[in-house]
Amino acid sequence: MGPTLVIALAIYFTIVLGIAIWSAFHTKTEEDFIAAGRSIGPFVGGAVLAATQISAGTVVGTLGRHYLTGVSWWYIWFGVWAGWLVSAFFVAPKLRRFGALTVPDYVGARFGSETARALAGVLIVVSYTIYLVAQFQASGEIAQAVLGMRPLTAMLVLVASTALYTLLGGVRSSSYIEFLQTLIMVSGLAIAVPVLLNHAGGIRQATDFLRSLDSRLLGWYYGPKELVAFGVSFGLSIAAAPYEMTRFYSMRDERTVKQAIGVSIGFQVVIGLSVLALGLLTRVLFPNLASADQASSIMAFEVLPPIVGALLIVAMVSAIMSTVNSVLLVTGASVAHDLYGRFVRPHASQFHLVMVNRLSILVLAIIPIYFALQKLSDVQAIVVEQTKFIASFFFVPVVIGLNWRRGTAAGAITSMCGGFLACLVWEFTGQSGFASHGIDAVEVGVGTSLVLFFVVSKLTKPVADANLRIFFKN
Amino acid sequence: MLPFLVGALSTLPQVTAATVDVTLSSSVAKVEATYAVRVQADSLTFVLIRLRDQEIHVTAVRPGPASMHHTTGSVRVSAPAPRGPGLPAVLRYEVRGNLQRIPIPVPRVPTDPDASEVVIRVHGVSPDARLTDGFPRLSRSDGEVVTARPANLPSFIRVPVVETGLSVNRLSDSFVIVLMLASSMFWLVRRRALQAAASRVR
Repeated sequence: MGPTLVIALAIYFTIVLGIAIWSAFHTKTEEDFIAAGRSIGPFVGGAVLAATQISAGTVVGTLGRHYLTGVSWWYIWFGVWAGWLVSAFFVAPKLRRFGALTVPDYVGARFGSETARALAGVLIVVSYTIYLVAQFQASGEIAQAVLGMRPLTAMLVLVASTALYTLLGGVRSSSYIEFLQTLIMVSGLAIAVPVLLNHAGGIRQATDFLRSLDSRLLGWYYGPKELVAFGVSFGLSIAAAPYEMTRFYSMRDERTVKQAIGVSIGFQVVIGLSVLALGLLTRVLFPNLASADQASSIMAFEVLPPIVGALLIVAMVSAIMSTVNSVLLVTGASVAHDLYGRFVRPHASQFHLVMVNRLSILVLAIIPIYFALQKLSDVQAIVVEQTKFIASFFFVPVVIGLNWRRGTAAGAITSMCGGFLACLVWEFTGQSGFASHGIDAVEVGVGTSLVLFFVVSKLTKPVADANLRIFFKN
Repeated sequence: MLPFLVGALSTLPQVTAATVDVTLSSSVAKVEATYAVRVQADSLTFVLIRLRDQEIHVTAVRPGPASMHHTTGSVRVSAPAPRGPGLPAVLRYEVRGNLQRIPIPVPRVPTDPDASEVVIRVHGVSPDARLTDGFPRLSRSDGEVVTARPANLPSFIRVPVVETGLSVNRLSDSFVIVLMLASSMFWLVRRRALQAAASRVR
C-alpha cells in the first residue's frame, strides 16, 4: 500500500493547503477568523459539526472499544444524539440569535459577569488541552502502525499541518476542509465494511466466531449502569460543548443551525454503524491484538485493498486534524478574545487580536504533545474523562442558564467551580467503587453543579433585564 | 481511574515468533504452526476459528498432552506452556472440506508488532491465482508458494484462487476512484451554476 498511501496523503494535504490559502485571502477581521463571516449553510454546517464530533476518539478509540468489548458500547451513541437534540432545541438557536464569537462571550453577557467569562475561558483551555492529548496519542498510534514513524515525529507533523490551516484561514478554511473530511470519513468507513465482511466469510460466520471468543461481544459487555454513565457523559458534554457551539456562530441563522444538526446526526449514524461493524470484523480477522487502539490502523493497512486502505488512513488523519483544528480554534479564541482581549489589552486592534489568537493556537498545540508521549491511558478513556469534566462545569450554566432566567452570575461561577471539583474529587476517590454503587463522576459533577446553580442563584440578586432580553422573549 | 476502561491486554505475555506452514492439496490442507511464546502461566490456549463446511483434525500438539473444546464458532486447544528458552509450542492439524479459508491457531497471548516475527507460508497455490484477493497480504515466494508477514496473527488465511470476474477488493478500489471523480465533477458543476446565478443577480 506504500506508494498508494503516499499519493493519497499528498493529494489530501495539497487540497487542504489550497483551501487554507484561499480562505486566508477572505479573512480580514476577527469575526471572519472566528465565525467565517457567519456564511456557512446547513449541509456544509452539518458536515462540519459531524467532523468536530468524530475524532480520533471515534476512528481509533471507539473502533478499538468495539474490537475489545463488542456491540454494547454502541448504545452510547444514543446519549450523543440526545445531547445534539438538546443542543438543537434548547441551546443552539438562542446562542446563534445572540451572535457572539465565543462561548465565554455568552457566559459573560448572559450573567453580566467578567469573572464568569474568565473562568469559562480558563476551564475551556484546561479541559480541551486534555482532549488534544487523546488526539495526539491516536496520531502516534496510527503513524507507528502504518508508517513505522516515531510517535513524536507524527505528532509534530500533525501539529504543523493542522496549525498551518487553522492559522491561515480560521473557521472559514476549517469549515470547508471539515466538509471534505466528513465526506472522506463517511465514504472510507462505509466502503471498508463490505470488504471486511467478504474476508470474514459473511455475517453468520463472523458472529459464530465472535460468540465463541466471548459471548459478551454480541451481548452486554458493559452493564446498563456503565452505559448510562458513559451516555450521560457524552450527551451532557455535547449539549454544551464549546467547540461545537462556536460552529453554530459561523452559520447563517437559527434555522440553518437546526438543519445542520439534523444533517450531522445523519452522518454520525452512518459513521457509528460503520465503526461498530469494522471493530467487530477486525476482531474476527485478528482476534488478539496487543492494543485495541491498533485495530483501526491494522485493519486499514493489513486487510483493506490499497486504495480503500489509503482512503481510510486519510479519513483517520482527517478526523484527528478536524478535531485538533476545532479545539485549537476554541482554546485560541478563549485565550485571545476572552482573556487577553478582555483583561490584558481591552483596546487591542483587530489585527493585534488575530495575531494573539494565532500565537495562542501555536503554543496550545505544542503543550499536549508531552502528555501524549507518556501514554497515560488509552485514547477512548482520555476522551471519556474529558467529556465528564466538560459536562460537569458547562452543562448547567449553558443549558439551564439559557432556559431559566433566574440564574445569576454567582450561581454560574459556583456551579462551574463546584461541578469541576466534584467531578475531579469523585474521579479519584468514589469512582473505584462504581461497580457497587453505580454512581459515576459525571453524575456527581453535574448534580453538584445543578444544585449549586439553583441554590446560589436563588440566594443572590437577579441578573439585569438588559442582559436577559436577548435570551428570553418575555 | 476507571480500571475497567484501561486496556487489560497491555500487561499480558507475548508471542515472540510464529511460523505457519500450510500445504494444500485438492481435498486436505495440512498445517504446522510453530510458536515461540513468552509466558508465565502453566498452560497455553489456542483458538482456531471453526468455519462452516469444514472439519479440523488436530494430529499433534507439542508439548502435550492437549485438551480440546469444540463450539459452533471455534475450536480451543489447551496445552502445557513450553518451558525453557527456545522451546516452541507446535500444533499440527488437517483441514478438510471448504479450503478457501484455512484456520490459524491464535494463542490467547498477543503478538508485539514491533518485536514479533510472524511468517505464514502456503504451499500449493496455483501460479495463476490472484494474490490481491488473499488475506493477509500475500506475496509469491517461489512457484506455488506464497508468503505473508503480517504484524499480528490472523485467525485464518484466505487462499487466493484463480478467478476471472471482478473481485470485491478491485470493485471497492474502483468504487473509491469513481466516487472521488463523481464528487469532484459534481462540485465543479455546482460551483459553475452558483457563479452563473450570482452573475445573473448582479
